[in-house]
Amino acid sequence: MAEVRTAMIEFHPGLILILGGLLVSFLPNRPRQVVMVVAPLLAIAAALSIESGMMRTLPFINGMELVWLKADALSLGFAFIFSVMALLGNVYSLHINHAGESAAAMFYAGGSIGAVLAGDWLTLIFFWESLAISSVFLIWNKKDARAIAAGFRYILVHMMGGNLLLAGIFLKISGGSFTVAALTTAVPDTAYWLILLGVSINAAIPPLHAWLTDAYPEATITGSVFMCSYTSKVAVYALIRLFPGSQLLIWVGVIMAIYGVIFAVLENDIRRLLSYHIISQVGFMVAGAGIGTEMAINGAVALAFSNIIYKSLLFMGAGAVIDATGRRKLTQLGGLYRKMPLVAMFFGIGAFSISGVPFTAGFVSKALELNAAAANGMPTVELLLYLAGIGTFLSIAFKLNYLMFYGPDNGIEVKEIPKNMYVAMAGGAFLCILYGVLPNLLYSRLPFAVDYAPYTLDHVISTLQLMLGAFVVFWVLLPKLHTHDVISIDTDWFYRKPFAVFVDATVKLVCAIRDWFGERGWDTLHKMTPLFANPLKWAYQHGVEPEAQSPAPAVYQEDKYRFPVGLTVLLTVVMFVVTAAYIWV
Amino acid sequence: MTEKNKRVLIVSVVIIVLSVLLEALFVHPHGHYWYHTFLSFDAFFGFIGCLVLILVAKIPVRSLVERDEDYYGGGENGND
Repeated sequence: MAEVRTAMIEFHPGLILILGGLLVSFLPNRPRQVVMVVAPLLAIAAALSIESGMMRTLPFINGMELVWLKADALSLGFAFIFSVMALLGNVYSLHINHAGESAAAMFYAGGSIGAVLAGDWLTLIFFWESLAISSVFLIWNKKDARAIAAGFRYILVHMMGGNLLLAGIFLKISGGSFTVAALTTAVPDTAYWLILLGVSINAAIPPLHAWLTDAYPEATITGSVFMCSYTSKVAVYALIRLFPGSQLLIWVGVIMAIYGVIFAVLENDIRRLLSYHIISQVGFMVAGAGIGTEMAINGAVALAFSNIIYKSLLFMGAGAVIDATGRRKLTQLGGLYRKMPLVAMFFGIGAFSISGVPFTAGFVSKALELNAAAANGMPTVELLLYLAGIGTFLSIAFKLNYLMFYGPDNGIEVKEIPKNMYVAMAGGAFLCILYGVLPNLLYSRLPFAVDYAPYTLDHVISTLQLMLGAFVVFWVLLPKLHTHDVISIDTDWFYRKPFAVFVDATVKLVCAIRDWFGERGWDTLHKMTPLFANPLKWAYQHGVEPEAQSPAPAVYQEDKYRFPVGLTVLLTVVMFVVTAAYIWV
Repeated sequence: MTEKNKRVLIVSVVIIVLSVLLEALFVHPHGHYWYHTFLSFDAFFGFIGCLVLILVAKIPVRSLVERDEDYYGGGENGND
């Protein structure tokens, strides 16, 4: 057994998924499906077999060593849940029969694991950039005009974030620090701000968050299930790793948590509504990283862990609805409970889980975070995060759930969805409840020892009261909460409207200048051509005597005045031989 | 408001009242701040919080951010 264990240790779970992605990209349909299931299973096994404190290096230039695998409790927790998510996501997309998308999804998942296990800055930035590059294909593969435009905006924003991070990393490396470690200088330097900004873009911190709510609703149904799980959680990992206890992040997180739920109240597109809740949920985690105590970091990791499960479950449910009905707006949906009972049930479990209802993963993880804020002497932070939690009840457990499945029936025709989607949703729902009922399974994967019992009578009653208090308002105001066929603009407005006008105007100006010079140049050329058509004629007019023996002196014979082609070739060959001789001899 | 809607509302309020009774009888008051021990605080917070979120979203925020669906151009195909 010991030998088996050592042998397995050598596998990096991220590289297993990336290799799987390579296989998937050329295998035919059946074997591809096998790889899509087996590779994540192997990755889970590999993630479980890595021991905390393990390190693997590779020699690199200038005597530096790439630490491509460095495991501790924090990174292992993330690597494990990322591998589990790869399995759920791949099962959900088994039917798509599109090698490119399946491969992109696996590269994306593998890159995320690579980033959390990276021990040095260069490995981190390598995998970090690979996330954006692989995930953009999950958007583009939808292939309609909106998706393609959204994909371009997505990749541009991420390239900018990646470059900011890279600039910060260059400063770090040239300053002599090569390993990824917390940036806890007394006075934040340039590298600190550059890295924070780069990570903030991926963490979707407002006002840098609009790429998320812009792109995720436009991705393919299967792609958005992956996207909601990885990019922002890798950024949460980076914030916990690099900026634990940064006071700034506490308030940034609180603002995020509330910003997301307020925009979600207005939203009509179901996946965009869920995307706003990613921002809200990541806000909880960012605040946890900012508080920085052992309990708060445990809370942030627990939330990231369970968020991956229930958020992907919600995206799977929403995707199933879109797949079955072809509709994505709440105004067009309603009363699907009878037509899609299983999807309604799984979505309901995800919706209650994200809201933190007892016996779900959300309950046991959100409690940890709120308790950490209170224990750290921050009642305002606790209450504001608690308020954001009400918004989650309101928008997902009540509004989205009700308007999609239980509201007035719109007489929608529903087509059958693939079986594998049900399997994946059942898996996600099972994990939501498993971790909710047995919280120690979750707590044992957290970076620090947990001394907290979520299931006290007090706490369960509090949650029940909070939920019902909010429900009364929801039920009374329900007519006001019905959405309309409108959209909400967000900070992407700045680069989609004024910046677009600016780019457009700049391009037009440059074109105008080029055209003006082009026309003048063309005119001049036209006027000059006759002068050079026959140099002899011009020469005779200007006092050169014609040669006496020439019968037709005014006719210009080109060959008389230029070298034969052969001479040029000869010179070229000679030059080549001389150069070659110079180099080799 | 229909009969059914009223019934749902009454049941919710009854459960809240019962939960407050349960809290008063069986929960030993403990916590970091006053609101952790304040009886029925969570029901009030849920009620008021939900109202505040809806009002903030539906009045000031909505008037700022709401646009027509084709605001960014029909096909959203680049800047053309």
